[in-house]
Amino acid sequence: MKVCSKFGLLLLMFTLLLVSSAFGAIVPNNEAVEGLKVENVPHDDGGGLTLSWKPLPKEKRIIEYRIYRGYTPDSLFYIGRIPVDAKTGVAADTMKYVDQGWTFFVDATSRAKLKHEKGQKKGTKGAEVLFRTVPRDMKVYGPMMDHYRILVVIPDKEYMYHTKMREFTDIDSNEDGTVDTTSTILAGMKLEQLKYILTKLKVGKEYYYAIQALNMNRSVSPLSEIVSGKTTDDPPEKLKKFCAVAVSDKKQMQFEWSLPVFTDDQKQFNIYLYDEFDDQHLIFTRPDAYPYTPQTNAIVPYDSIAARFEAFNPANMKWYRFNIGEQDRKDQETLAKDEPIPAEIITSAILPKPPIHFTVKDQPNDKGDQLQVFFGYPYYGLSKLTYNDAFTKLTVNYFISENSMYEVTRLILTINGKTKTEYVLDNKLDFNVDWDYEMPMEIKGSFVCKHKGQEPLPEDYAITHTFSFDPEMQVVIIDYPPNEQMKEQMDYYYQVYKINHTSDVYRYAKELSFREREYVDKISYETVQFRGTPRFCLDEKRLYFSTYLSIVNYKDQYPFYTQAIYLDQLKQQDEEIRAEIAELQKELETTTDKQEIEKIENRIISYTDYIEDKPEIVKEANRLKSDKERMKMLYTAHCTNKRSFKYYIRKTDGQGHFIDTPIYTAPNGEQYIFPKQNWFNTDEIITLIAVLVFAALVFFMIKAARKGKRLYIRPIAGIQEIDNAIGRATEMGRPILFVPGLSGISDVATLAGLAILSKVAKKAAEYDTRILVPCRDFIVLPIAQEIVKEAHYEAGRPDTYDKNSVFFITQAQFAFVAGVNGIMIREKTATNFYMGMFWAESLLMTETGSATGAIQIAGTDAVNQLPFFITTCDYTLIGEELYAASAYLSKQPLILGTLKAQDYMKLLIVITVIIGTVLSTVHLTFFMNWFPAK
Amino acid sequence: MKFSDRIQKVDRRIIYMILLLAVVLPLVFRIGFKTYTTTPVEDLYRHIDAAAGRDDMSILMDFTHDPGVLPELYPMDLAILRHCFERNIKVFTISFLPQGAAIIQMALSEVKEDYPNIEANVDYCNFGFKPWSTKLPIMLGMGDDIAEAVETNSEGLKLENLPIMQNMKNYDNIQVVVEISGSSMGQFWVTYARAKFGVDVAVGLTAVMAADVYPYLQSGQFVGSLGGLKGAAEYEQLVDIFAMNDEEFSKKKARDIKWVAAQYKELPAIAKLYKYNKARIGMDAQAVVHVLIIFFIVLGNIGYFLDQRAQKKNK
Amino acid sequence: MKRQIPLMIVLILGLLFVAHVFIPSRISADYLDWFLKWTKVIGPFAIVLGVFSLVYVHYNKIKRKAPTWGYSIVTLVALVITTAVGFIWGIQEGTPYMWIFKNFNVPLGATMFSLLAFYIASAAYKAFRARSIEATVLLIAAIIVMLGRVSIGQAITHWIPDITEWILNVPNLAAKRGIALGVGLGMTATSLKIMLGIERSYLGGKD
Repeated sequence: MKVCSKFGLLLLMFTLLLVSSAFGAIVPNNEAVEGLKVENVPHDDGGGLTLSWKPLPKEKRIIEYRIYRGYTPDSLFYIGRIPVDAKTGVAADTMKYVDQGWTFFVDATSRAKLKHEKGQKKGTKGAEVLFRTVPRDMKVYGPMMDHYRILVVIPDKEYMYHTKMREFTDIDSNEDGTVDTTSTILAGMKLEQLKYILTKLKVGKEYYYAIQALNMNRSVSPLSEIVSGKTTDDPPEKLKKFCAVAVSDKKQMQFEWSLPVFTDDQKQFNIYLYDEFDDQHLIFTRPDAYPYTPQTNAIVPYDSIAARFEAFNPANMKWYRFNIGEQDRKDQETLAKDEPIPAEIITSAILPKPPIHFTVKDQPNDKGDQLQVFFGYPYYGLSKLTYNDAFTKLTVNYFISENSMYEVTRLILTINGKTKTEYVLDNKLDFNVDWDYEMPMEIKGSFVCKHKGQEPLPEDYAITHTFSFDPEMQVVIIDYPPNEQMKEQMDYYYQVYKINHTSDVYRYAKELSFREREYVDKISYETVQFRGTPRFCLDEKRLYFSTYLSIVNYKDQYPFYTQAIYLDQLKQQDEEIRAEIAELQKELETTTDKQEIEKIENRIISYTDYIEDKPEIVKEANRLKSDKERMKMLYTAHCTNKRSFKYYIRKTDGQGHFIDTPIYTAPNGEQYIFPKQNWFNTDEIITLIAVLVFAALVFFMIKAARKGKRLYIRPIAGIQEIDNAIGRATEMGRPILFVPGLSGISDVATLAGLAILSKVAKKAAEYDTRILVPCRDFIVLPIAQEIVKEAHYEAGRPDTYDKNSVFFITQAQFAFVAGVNGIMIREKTATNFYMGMFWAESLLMTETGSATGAIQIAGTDAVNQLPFFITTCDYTLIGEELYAASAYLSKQPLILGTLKAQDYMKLLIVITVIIGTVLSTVHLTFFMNWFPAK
Repeated sequence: MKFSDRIQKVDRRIIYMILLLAVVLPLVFRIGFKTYTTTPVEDLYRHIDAAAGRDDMSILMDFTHDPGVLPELYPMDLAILRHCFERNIKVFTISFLPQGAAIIQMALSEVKEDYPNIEANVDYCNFGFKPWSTKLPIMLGMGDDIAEAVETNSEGLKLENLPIMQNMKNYDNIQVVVEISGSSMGQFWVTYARAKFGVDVAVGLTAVMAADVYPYLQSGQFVGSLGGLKGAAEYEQLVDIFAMNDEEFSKKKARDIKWVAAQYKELPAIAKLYKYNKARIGMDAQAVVHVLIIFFIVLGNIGYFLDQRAQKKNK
Repeated sequence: MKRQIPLMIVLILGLLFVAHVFIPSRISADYLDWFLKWTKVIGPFAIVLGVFSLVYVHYNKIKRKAPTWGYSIVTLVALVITTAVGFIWGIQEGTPYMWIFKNFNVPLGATMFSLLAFYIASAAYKAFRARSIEATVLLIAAIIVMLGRVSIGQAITHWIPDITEWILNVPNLAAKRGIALGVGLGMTATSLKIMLGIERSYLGGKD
């Protein structure tokens, strides 16, 4: 064996040599990246810079480019990397990195201390100015926050209940020498309480960038030149589309436009009318819905135009011209059209018909984060039509769009007078119809729907599609030429808009094509608050944020009605305002000027309103004494209102011809719909019944077995042979190998395998035969060890237990196989057991076992591996037999009872399957539909 | 040892040796088993071919796969590109994985060698790598305006100025999107591009994934598919006989062994290049191994049969 | 007591998981998240056990100069080198660790995997004998499927690929589903037995 160990050492040295040589053979990474340019991103909100540079040649074997940024050239922090394939390199002439939008800045898991980037040569500029990511040390990141826009993401619970109130007093000295003091109350939190902090570049500020490249040996190139760029807030880009339509009989104008790429710093859209004299009049403004997508169309009644432009006369409509301007937060405006456009004058007859039965409902069986939006009668479309070469047989692939109001149970298709009913909607139907393919043909489809007490489908409701054959493309083209019915549908799509109870602008929820009938709107649980520009306090290591929480849209006057989170702060505020009112009332007594009186009175009213006129919920909350209880009430209101939505649907062709449904009102009169969470999943009712039936069967069978009733169980050869197999190993004086599967403890098959192990180990201990148990999962390992140990104790042979007989090999699938095979060959095991979960490695093990001449017994529920086991092992436990094995071996009434119950359950399932098959064959699908599809 | 015993108990090392030869030899010396095409591959071929010679129709190839699956997928990449260049079909290429961008380059340059007249940005346009996060905006945006959604090609040139884009606006100008990947990326195209804009989608997949696409093929959501090396081999074959000879594709002809064999004699040298036969050579090895295993099974059974007969006689 | 507490934990957590299937509410979903996080935490601790077992077994072999103890040295040295290299230079692309992974683990694993082809050949040769009618049916089906998967099948007759499809989709799938049904029930029964404490052998020792 000395030869063996020498060989092993030699192999190792060879390996080390190889490793070291492999790392010396790459072109040195001694050239810096060149041509670094930093440019402003056009049309944005002044928060973006684009970096571009020339990639290093392929020979350098670069694997990534690292980007560093700072607001001074003498300290640059790592902000990101671009990975590159070392073998193929970068084919393009330039590489790009866009530093834009909100990016990660720091959180509690960031590194603790400021650290220089390593790899750069000492004494070079790179070694001095490069730092790794921003550390969580407030001394470093605190001052940095002044140079960026900051957004802090705070977990709700922390913000509501675990903040520290503190009053900050700012003193501003005015030019005339007077001093203004303002005091603000803020909520303080430590970094560990926050989720994370994000940054964005500030407008009009200079930032410095540098790049270094990393090669396959992980050596870095010298630092590129440090280049700076300045962000600028450019005017918004031109909108690509703008349409104006005047609907004369409805006395309104309809506008539709497209969205720009950057919506971040959008403030509003302004629509202008240019009269006969080319004078510009602002007739409509649409505020943004940041951070959501705003509406891209508007209805402006003539009255409201007239309110802004007195001389408006609908008769002059053909002389009027229109344009739209996009205005950003810096009030820069860009007009969409160089020349204003005239309006298309139509009557409402041209407008589409609004979708019917528009409904919003809570989605059933969810955790309370979805709403169902649906409308209209069902639709079927054709996804593919295939004729055979002789044009005698047609395969129709269809799809159905439905909603929970009209659930389709059957589809009836008619082609060329031939009608076929589809009972099981499997998206495929075959027709035997001849076709002279030079002529277009029609398919008419009608539906049978589940009746749920709603008004039934109109009798004549049907959808007809046309199809024709394109000899050039050799394919059947669907809806070409489109018939009248399809033409009317195809031109339009649906836009779903929604608004929550703490906002005043509708936001875009989803666009649905003309084929869709339902949309499930995901309304995620609110778990975080966003707060901008924090103050920081170095002594306390706290960041301070605004203390206001939006509660509800109150009377539409205060869409974002907010409340301070501290009761003390509220009281203080109230007192201040009351003092102000008292002062004003004093002033009122001394004033004589009528106008002035009116002014003061108005102020008093608005101040009084501010403290008196509050939403009920707020009043109620403020009456509570404890801060915590008050917060709880306000927070519940905040969450409910933020997640309650009003909906409407707009059907449009994108050219200004659109029509709205009214806002959906629930039967109880409520417009804001709130997604409720459900406590029972009705889809699983069949599963529940099956589980209960099974549990009852188990219960009764165990009872019967306990009473001493003899339960017959079919003998299984593989299990009966286990004893003999162990005996054989004993006779031969060789060990037994037991592999408890390759998967982890959470797999039931592993548990079943371990149960068998306990029996086998006990037998082996009794016979005084060695048992080897290699494990792949390290959680299985201690359990297997314990099982084998206990088995030895039970057999009364604790002395023969060897801890090393149950051991871990490796997690790697095929390396594990190599290990097991090695054991079989070296130890010449007489009997091999494979019990549990196996994958592609099964044959590799059993074939080796059969070569060494061992008796092999396998058991697995991996259907795909069964053939391999059956061909190479002497006995195989198929599927459920693996689970039954431990029961057979123990012969306990408890366990036998469950086995018998299993058999009866199987009988029940088979009966159900037969009933289902028979009923579906005679087109009775109700039974099938009881069962959930998944 | 009796003969019947001997053929029942061939030493496993001999079997292994023969098997090794059966795998290696067909890879070294081309056998040229015939390849028979199947419907999903034919459908894809015909679909792509329908865009031949049109300057307002193109196909979009999405190379969202990494080098790990190249042995199975690269022959597909080559075969489809060759089909397009041979038949003058405009091609767009894109990848949402950075490694995919390198594969596009490799495939394009390898096929372009044989088609000197094919010009970048005129006959094909490589959109290059687009970050994973932009996948949805691009998929949806192309329904409106390709140039606007994709913005630049791999060289950083604005799409709207390129000659190839003159007659290309949106999905109406894309005959079919061919997703070549080892994942379920094709289903994204179905969900977003097909459901919304009705563009046809087809996939090229590794053999392991191939079974997953049957429901989609059956429902018509994929117009065709190439499954593993076999699919690639079939496509290579179709390109050889129809595209190379400028023949009109027909299913009947593709299945007619004699006719296909006749076409094979006339193929030019380019069709015999190794790179355009890769998948078929691989399939040769596979076929030989299958036959070999069958041979062994039959051999063992003959021995068993002889044994049984001898035993009966003895009784 | 030593037995009772673990069994109680199994029962309670088991019932909670059963309840989770039927209760879609937020608490139920959060519970699952919370639980999964804990499972992730347990894993790394168990690694220590595995590594300890590996080292202990091989160390003993070397100490006892057991047969083939040279391989144990290779195992331990490989373990130490790979771990050390990973700790020192990290595990990203381009590090020695990655190099070892790519140039040792991957090709060795692939080698083991490709042995499968050889083993299938020899296993098929040994196992497929027309011993009975059932075995003959299996034999014929196997030959048809093998032929149907390559072009030679089609060359003989187009029926072979068609029959192959049929065999895979009908009898094969039916058998697979039958087994899957039994497996499903067996799993449920075993889980039930474990939950109710009827089956305790996984705890080691007495039934």
